Amino acid sequence: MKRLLALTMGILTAIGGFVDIGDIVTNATTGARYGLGLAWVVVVGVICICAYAEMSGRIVAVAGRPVYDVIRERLGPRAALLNLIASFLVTLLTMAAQIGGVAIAIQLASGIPHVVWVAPVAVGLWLVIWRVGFEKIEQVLGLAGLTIAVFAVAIWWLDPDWTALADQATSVMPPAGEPVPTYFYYAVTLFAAAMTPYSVFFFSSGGIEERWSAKDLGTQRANVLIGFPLGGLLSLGIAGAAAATMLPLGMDVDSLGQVVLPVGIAFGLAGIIVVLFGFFAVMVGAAFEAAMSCGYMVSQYFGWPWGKRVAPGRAPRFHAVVAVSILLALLIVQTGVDPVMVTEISLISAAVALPLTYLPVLIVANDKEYLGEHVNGRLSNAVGLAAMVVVLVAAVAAIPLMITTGMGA
Amino acid sequence: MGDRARARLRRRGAALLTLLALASCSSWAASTGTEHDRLTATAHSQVQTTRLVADAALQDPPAPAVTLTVVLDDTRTELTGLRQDLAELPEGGGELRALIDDALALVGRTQGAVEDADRDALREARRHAGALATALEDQSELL
Repeated sequence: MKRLLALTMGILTAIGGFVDIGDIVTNATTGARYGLGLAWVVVVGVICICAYAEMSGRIVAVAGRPVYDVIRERLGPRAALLNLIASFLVTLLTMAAQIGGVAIAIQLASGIPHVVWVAPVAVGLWLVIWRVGFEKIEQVLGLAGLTIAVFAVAIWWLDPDWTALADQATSVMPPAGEPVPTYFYYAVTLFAAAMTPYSVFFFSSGGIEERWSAKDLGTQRANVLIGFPLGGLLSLGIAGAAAATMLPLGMDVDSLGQVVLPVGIAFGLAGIIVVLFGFFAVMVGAAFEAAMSCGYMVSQYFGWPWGKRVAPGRAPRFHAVVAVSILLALLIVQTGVDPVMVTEISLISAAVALPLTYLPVLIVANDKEYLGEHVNGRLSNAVGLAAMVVVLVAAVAAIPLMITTGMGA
Repeated sequence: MGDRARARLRRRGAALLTLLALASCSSWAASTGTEHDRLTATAHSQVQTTRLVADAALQDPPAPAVTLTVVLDDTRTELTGLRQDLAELPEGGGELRALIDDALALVGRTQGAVEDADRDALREARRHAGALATALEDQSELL
């Protein structure tokens, strides 16, 4: 039973960290435009995030210290500060997008404009972080988030042209007549959605909260190897449902409301209830992870006491950073800016910042001083280096592609 | 590697990059079309969204009216914005403007049908959305 509970950490990270508003929007957009033609990017993203999450978990379990703490020590305070600023801003933007997404999910259920819900959602998030235990949050949101598997069931129910879907899924080139830069712009955003930096900070710091040790390496690997691929499959379910209903009509996706329509067509009232509940759970989960990550990264850089297990009175600066981050995210969304637009900007920013997050992890995972006999083996290094090449290409290409395509227009 | 070889490598690299950039730009420019094409594509997408809303409302039991109304509100906002963008184009829009007005009327009728759970009106909205989408496809090479 204890082992099973430990696995929910991986499932939560997969669903809240892998599937969030970024994955929902980009998978629906690419599904409507290219069908499953960008499924290969999700596969690459899953492999890359598995490789780096496993390294981060190993660093935590063996060194007994969170990744950011080790990065600061290994890279020195200046380089680590640059890393901190970039990662914090990207995570803050990501949290704003999640809060906006939760507000839209409530709007779709209530009909009341999403701007009305932004402040209650942010306050509710802060209260949950303040009052509810770490394990309870991850178990409830992790299991509730699994309901977005309804997209995958909807594909089967809608009975699309399976041959066409299979052809799309095995293609790695843009369809005829589609602009090549736009195709690669969406490939970069989809990859960034899979590799969101906060998931690594949350995963590694959560390992400390759960008191991992070298004995837990097996559980940690199981979390990564079950959790992230599950997240990837759920993402592909969203793309597949959009491919089944929207691609034949030649339509684009530019709002969260459009994303739920395939499920509404398949299952009517029940489908919409399930999908909105799932959206709520995964985006609250992602907002929780992003908010905690803001607190983790700042506290770990400055060496302050941190964590949900530490009483607020003994870690006041950690809790203050979490609260101020939520407040800043609230202010961003409360301006009335479209949360889908915030999502797209956060994904491009994340793509640019990816090397700053992942390169130090690769360096530390090869350092015998920290990991002893548990340093990267040949396979980990081969996958890690190949992933780093993809990360660098995505980071360099992100801004030029965004400009030349007018954000995928 | 000597200086000459290095210079040759640099020249070839620059030529390759230029070629790639030109290929990307020409592919993009050839496929994204004019502003008129872009507006037509967006209008087409909103009309098809309305069609899917009608489909979801025709399920038994139907998708909740409150959710579908929010989707249609977004569609109306997009189409209203398109009409304003079209008015700023030098040629004014002509036929496309009439199609967008037609789409806005369709969104209004679909919303009423969703709220009243009027299945006949929903079927008619679905049929009209299909015809309107075809008319928009005739307006643009992109569709």
